[in-house]
Amino acid sequence: MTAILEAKGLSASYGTNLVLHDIQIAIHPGEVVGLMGRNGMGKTTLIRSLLGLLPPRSGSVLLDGVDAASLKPFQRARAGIATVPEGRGIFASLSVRENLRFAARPGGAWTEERVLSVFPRLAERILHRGNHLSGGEQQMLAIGRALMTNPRLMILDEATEGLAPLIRDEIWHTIALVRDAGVAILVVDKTVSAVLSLADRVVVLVKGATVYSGAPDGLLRDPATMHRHLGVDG
Amino acid sequence: MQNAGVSTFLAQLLNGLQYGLLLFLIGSGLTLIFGVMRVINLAHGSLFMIGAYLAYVVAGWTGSFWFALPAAISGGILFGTFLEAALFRRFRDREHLDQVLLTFALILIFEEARSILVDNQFHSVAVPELLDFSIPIVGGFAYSAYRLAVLAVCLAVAGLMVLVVERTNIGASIRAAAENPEMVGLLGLDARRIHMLVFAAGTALAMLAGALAAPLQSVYPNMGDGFLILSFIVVVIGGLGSIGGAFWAALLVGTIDTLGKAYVPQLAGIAVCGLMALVLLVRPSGLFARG
Ligand SMILES: Nc1ncnc2c1ncn2[C@@H]1O[C@H](COP(=O)(O)OP(=O)(O)O)[C@@H](O)[C@H]1O
Ligand SMILES: [Mg+2]
Repeated sequence: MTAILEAKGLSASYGTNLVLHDIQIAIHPGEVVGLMGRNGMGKTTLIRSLLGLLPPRSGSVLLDGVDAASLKPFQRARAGIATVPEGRGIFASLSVRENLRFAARPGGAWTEERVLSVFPRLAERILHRGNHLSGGEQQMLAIGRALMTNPRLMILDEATEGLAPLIRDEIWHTIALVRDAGVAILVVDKTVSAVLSLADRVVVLVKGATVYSGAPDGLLRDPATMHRHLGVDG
Repeated sequence: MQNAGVSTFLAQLLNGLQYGLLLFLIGSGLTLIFGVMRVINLAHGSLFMIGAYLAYVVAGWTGSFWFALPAAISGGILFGTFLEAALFRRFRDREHLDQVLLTFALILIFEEARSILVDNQFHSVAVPELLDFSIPIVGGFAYSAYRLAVLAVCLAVAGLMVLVVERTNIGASIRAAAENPEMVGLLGLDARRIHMLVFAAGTALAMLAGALAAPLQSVYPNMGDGFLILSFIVVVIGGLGSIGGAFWAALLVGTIDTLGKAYVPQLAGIAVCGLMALVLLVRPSGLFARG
């Protein structure tokens, strides 16, 4: 099966500072891929390259098997890729309803009603502006807004960062629900156990290079890597 | 005597509101273009001048002022689309100094083009016959029907703009693009089309304002300069990028400027600038900025 999104031998840099080295990653339809690694290892940079926000130094990004070099971020989004970015990217001056509606791409299963039934808290705050929401509500809105585009692939960068444990659980629950609805997921998160239990495959980055790529089980059987590169003691 | 004083005041007040509403047509485009594209457009006042000359030329050709208004709007949309695609798109990510140089050059080019295509003379444009009368308001006080019509048209346009920007999906995407263009792209919207729309609309509004103003004042070289300065003041007082803010600021500036010129001519030039300085000191984000 052709991957929705794939990086082949991808290197990327900020100025002369090479941040990603020869990365190989593919997300297939319906699949959950976990992207892991400590702070500053290049996870967000890889996501930005996949989305077309940072041009590759070398190598390529493929969208449905076709080189995406000429596709702008908005064109990749229209091809069915939705992003919940680091920092959430909520529009402060737009109401919850406006945040949900203005980017909606109808035609799929996700409608405003369905999103609001998944996140009843958003329904309660439908007329509040983005900057009047709590962190958890903003995160729900970022996920709800991504769903409104009826994506084939959802990319989540640190979606549970800075949230209270109960809200985190709720977010993980929703991500599982999105997966069950058949949406492929690329998830970056510090909660290693949650990523490992959700993902079909994981990729671990260290200083912009892949040190592990494969099933979560393989990583669980490798306590040294878990400890050194993910900070998990087992 | 008493009555004459009240009538004069009412007339000046209405003149001020009408002037303010024209300022809003210019300032709203300026504030949106700055808010969404981060471009400083010094040539925005020249678009007002171009609209006025277009009205003069079209009214002359066709013999009717009424053709001038659709000509200014459609001409503005075409011209704005062209300017955005040919120039402003390329200057979005540039330093403000580059933008100032570019748009200052545009002022010179537009005035030169005006000089070549029309001439350097003052021209008057007749008030359309249909509205060339006065409407009694209160007591013995009557006010120009054309001026009242301009007031009504500007109010309608202002209402429509606020409605579009604050209440529609297109308006939401304009506000979103002003806040975070990258995120707008990640949601699948083409920020370039939003920029084009905003620039074309802003150009059309400034040219419409010029056409509406043509019968009120003479049409003359550099007539956009005063409007440019006052509409920049409107943008600052209203809060950069804020349509609602620009509306109230425009009414305030138009009224203060007009009443000032009528009653304290010595202070007229600085009254509005003083107001802006005060706003910058007390509320730098704008008198009417939200949040
Ligand atoms: N905009 C930027 N300009 C320059 N360097 C950056 C920029 N963003 C990130 N970096 C650097 O790139 C490396 C990877 O960062 P990032 O991809 O954000 O890591 P992660 O998401 O894994 O925490 C870090 O060393 C970081 O300092
Ligand atoms: Mg990151």
